[in-house]
Amino acid sequence: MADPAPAPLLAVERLAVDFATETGWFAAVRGVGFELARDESLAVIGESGSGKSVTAAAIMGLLDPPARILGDVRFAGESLLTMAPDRRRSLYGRELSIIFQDPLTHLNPVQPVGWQIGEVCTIHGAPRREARERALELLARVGIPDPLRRYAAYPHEFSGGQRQRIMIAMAMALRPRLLIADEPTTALDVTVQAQILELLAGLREEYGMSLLMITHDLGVAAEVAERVVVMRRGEIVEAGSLPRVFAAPRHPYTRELLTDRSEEYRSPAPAAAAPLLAVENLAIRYGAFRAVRGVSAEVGKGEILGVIGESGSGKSSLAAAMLRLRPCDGGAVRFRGQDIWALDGPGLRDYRRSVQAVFQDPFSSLNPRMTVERLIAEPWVLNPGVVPRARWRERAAELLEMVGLAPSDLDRYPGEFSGGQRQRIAIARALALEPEIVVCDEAVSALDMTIQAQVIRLLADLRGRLGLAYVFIAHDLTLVRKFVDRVVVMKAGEVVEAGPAEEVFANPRHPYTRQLIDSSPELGPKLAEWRALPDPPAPGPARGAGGPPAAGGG
Amino acid sequence: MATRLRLLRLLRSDAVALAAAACLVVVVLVALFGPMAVGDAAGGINLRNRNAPPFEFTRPWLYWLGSDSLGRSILARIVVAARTTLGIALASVAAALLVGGAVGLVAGLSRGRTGEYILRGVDVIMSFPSLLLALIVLYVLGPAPSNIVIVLGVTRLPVYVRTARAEVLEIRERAFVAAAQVMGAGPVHIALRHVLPLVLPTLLIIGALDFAYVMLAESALSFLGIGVQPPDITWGLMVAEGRAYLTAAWWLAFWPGLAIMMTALAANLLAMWFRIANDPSLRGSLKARVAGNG
Repeated sequence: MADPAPAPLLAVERLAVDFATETGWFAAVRGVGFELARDESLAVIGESGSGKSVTAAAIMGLLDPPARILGDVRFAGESLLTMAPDRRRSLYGRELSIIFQDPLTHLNPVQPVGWQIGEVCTIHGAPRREARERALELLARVGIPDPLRRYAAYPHEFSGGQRQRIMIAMAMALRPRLLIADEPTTALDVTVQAQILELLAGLREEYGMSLLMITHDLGVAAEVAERVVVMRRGEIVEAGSLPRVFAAPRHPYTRELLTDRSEEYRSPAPAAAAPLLAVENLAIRYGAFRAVRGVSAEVGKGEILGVIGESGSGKSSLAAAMLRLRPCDGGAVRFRGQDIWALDGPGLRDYRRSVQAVFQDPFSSLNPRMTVERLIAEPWVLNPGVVPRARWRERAAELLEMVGLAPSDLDRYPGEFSGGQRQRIAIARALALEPEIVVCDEAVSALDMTIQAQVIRLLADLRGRLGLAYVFIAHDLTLVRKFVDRVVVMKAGEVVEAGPAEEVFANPRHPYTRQLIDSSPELGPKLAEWRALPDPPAPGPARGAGGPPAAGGG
Repeated sequence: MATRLRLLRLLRSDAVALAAAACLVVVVLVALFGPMAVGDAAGGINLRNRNAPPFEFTRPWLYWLGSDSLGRSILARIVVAARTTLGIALASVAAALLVGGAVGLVAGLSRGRTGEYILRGVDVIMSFPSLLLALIVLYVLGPAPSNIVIVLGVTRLPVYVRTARAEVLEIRERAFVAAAQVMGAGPVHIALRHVLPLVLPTLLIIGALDFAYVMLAESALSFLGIGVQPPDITWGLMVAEGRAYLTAAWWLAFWPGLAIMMTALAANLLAMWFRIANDPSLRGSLKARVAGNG
């Protein structure tokens, strides 16, 4: 850090990126400047819309007109934005490379992965034979078992974590000096995420390369970075060494991000009541694949049941069965003691009214062709008699206000809202029938952390006011911990552990539960450690946000 | 009502779409009232006027676009043919769209065997040579316009069934369909309220494209003598008749060809505009363009 002589490996200087929209230029990145030294690891933290990925794309030359780029990006002293295209092409892939969030869309589905890794070498002039050897070596290095056989396999034959490993192998093929990682673990399970972060750290040590990590996850940043840059709405709000920023944040936004709000997720649990919805020995099969095997669980009035587990553990199949969206292949789901598939007439109507759902993806769970008013009123169209026709608009406005939106939003379309707002609309719709249970299938997973916190607080608050019960399905343990009363841990379609949340989290009995808890990147202990440092590291000469002060930069 | 007004206002502000709409309105008006205006000039043989070239403004206005090999006014014939052409094309496309769309919707939404059977049926239609089908049907039933509509409609049916089914399969898996089920929606509600509005724009676009195709297919049938029978005329038939004279008298095929092209183009542009205007997430771009244009 104290080595001033050579030019920094990467210098972003007063970078501004504008996109043309119908209403003029939209400034996605405004006057962003930071430097990255050789061998250093920097995390750019920000929520969606903060401009962090656009910054990465600008560095990698992935932005095309009509995007407008101002400022400069220098790599080892040379300007990437003005250099000859030939020179730039020879740098990309060899000196700097990038890995993305979604490896499946960034790998070519019709080429074997070994060939794709070797391609990076052949593009930069290596003979085929050598490329093949290098590809095999890399596959082994990133931890793909049996590389010789898997060389000829196609991307769809790998799991998500393995695909990310393959992307990393491609990026590492020519030993770059700088690796840009754009949310590389966001789509992965926590245990896989831990492995990938470990792999990245190992590779960094081995090759001596710099890492620019773009992430929204403070835990991930704390895991890999030495310095952090916090972005918000296209501007840098804070920059500095990791312990300094995390232990003593200066900007209110950073402070907001770092505040542990999980205590606010708590709401008083009701006294034990007869189960409203019970799953008994449930089995679900997709062909020969047994997605759920012998799962039992129950929710009482006003209770919150958490279901945690990794992708493929059968959580969503369980939710679908509870919602009567797919039939059970064994066992039963009972509502007030009655099998939901035996219900008809008034019983079925009562069930449909009482059990509602909020789905993961707020972009697809709202019909894009309907106004918010029609969306919220749809349950009343389907269940006549709940709310009289004349009161629909009024009641819809009330529901919107309850979830923190304005009545004037009634005439807008879902496309005009952000992800968090759409999820609020979905919650308002779920509340329209005054249900007793809301099944939330990864209802906050797609949202930014601050929005997540808002939605969870809203749900906790609604339980207090309306006596709602939730089945809360999630893979993020930190969210579940304080919010739910009881928790069920699922793995490969089976329940491995169940019990009161506090107890399960404090004393996990099953090794899988322990593994889940250990893998989830927790800030708490590290923060305490940094805050306890006798003398917090001096906030060096404003190296991060630094460079010449930019107009509007912070 | 309010939506219709808003659509009209949007249309008025989009020059291209407005021109397309105006063009279609003119064509429809010509088809409805044109024949009365030109009287029986379309059939008036005048051998002294054979193959008169266009743009000779010394002749009566009916001959400004030239005349055909029997000396009949091309303008008058185009006007008279508009009615048959549009009638047949519209009816065939509408029939194929309605029946095909409905069948495709059912095929996409049914979880059981029905969808499979429908698809195999469609495959049969597709694999049977359409010209052969036309020959057989029109030979057996006689070349009445209604039979031509049936033949053309059946031939175009598979496109709509397959497209509708493919779109439905994708839409069916979206979360809002599951959300509607959770609210207690039955299959009819889901099909009409959630799936159809998203499938319809695609079908309308295909319909607009098919409009041109059907006009040409009908001309091919007429050329073979099993389509529209003289003295009835259609644009396609005029193109087919004029083909023999292409080198000597280009205007015989050119003017009806131009009519076909303009109508199809206008239908396409309007359908494209309609798709955007009907989609709340895309409508913004139309409005913005309007605002930008002042």
